[in-house]
Amino acid sequence: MKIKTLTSYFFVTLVLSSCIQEEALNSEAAIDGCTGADVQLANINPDEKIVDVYVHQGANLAKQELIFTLPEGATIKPNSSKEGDSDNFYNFSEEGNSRMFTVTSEDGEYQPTYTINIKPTELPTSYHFERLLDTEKTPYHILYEFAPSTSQGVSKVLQWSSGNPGFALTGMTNNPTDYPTVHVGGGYNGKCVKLETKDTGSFGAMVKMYIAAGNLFIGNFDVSKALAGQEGALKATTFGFQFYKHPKELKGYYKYKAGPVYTANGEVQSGEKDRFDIYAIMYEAEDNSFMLDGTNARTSDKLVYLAQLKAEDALETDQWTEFKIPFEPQNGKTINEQKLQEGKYKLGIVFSSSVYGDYFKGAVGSTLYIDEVELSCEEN
Amino acid sequence: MKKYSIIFITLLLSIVGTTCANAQEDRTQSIIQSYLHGWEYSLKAGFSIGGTSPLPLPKEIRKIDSYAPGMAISIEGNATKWLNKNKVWGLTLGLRLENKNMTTEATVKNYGMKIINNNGGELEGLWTGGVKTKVKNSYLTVPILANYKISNRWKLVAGPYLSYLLEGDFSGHVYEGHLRTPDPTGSRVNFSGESVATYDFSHELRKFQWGIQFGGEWRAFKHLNVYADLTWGLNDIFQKDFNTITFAMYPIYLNVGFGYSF
Repeated sequence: MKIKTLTSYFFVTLVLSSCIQEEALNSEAAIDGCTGADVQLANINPDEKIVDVYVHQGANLAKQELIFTLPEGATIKPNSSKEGDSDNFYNFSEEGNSRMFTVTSEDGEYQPTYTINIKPTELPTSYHFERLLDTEKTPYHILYEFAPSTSQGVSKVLQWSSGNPGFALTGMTNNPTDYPTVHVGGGYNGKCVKLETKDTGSFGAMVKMYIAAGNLFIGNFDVSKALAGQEGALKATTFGFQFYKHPKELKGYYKYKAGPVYTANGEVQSGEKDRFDIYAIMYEAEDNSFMLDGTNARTSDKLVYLAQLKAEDALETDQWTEFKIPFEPQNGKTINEQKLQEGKYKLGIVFSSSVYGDYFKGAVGSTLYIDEVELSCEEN
Repeated sequence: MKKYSIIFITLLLSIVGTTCANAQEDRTQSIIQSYLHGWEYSLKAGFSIGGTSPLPLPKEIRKIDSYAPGMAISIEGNATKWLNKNKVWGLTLGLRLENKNMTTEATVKNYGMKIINNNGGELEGLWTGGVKTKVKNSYLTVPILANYKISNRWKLVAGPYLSYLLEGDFSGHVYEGHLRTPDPTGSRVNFSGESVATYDFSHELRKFQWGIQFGGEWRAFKHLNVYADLTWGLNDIFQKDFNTITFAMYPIYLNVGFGYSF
């Protein structure tokens, strides 16, 4: 054994350690994140190389602060400089508030060009699930709401988020309809959204994420955290967008069928039945970048309102059924009018085909259809 | 494949057994006969320590965090024909069953990685972080070696060898790091804590491999030798069309053990 140990040391020293080469420069080139003083949400689409940056109404488009998260050593700069550009501030006041940026990897080998669109918006309050975001290379559906601008303000747009970018990693899909969150026909009115709890296959089992519930929410899905353990996965979903009204009630229509076999972390649980979930939150966000996520969306002390569908109201039905969920005050808090006008509150709405899907508990095949959702607010 | 190795070992052992136990007289006779004609036979048994490694280590590998040689046994039967009367030069042809094993943990940067789902889907990209690699290959090897006798007790050997992969395992997992998928401009996916991704490139291993071998033998007793051979693979252990791992890897192993000369 001694000889073995000695010779192995000899080998390690001779063959391996002695020839570690000088570190190469990094070849990664991508936009991994985008924040800024006015930035509410940045939807980064790595397939299309498009970043949609949603800013609040009244943001100064001629002076947009954008702070990019880039891979180690990578740099970014606009393809053409404009008057008013300085440091992290860029002038987006012209040409549809859209500019091209090029990211260059540390080793200079990779130089993807991104289109960055600044979209001043206010959250719409009725959701029809009729539109998809125009995409070319994205393998899944991205639902989109659009209400044209009125005389008072900006157009109201909402890009729904889902766990689809995470499901794309599982290799379980051949086309957009294989994903948990899909745009389908046969809605209460026109089209609707179908959320289905899916098996994540051997890849999912490997990372201990056995199922993926179909989900749809106002917020952001950070794919980089999607596989970083249970806690990471919960943090991958962040909920909310700046909101300027007093919410009263969330209502809409659903159909639901629970899947046949309930599992928890890959183990079959007999006697358990899956159910869906709908909830909405309103919370204090002093800072634009502050978001509640899967770990604290319903427990944070920043919550002002919570509208939660009761378990007994989550029925299995193959008919379009109306739901009405009132917003209830939380933590003894009330809305501060001045802060409301300053945009210091965020509102999030979440739909899921498995109520504990975020903890990888649920039944594959559980299917929730949602259509014609309305967020009713107090008139002010 | 495992079955084949077992059969082979049994076969080899039974040949040894029969040769040893049965026809003791005949054997001695025939060995003396062939010895007089410059032929010598021997059996060797030993173990291999080494690594299957790219050479030189590519830039992608930043640090070797751990290395374990694993238990790798080899057995060989060979015949040597001495070419001249005083038996200084000779030629050896052998048949060897050997394992070349190792387990390493390395820290890598932008290392090509492909994780395959059992329904055919794959997740491909560049990995930065930890990689654990387990190599466990069994070969049937034919060494063709030149012999040079320095003294009565010392002998040097060198020459090429040809190997056929009987059973191959090249697998492992990645941990604590991030994958950039599908290419350097794709999205970043972090892996941390319990979340690891396993990979298995066993089916991408090349069946035929070759290399060079050199070493020495010391005669401790009349029939018993101690030997050490270094085998150095000269073609990539992976098939030509496999390009997930962007660099070639070669098996380099030291084989030490005992030999019995008849």
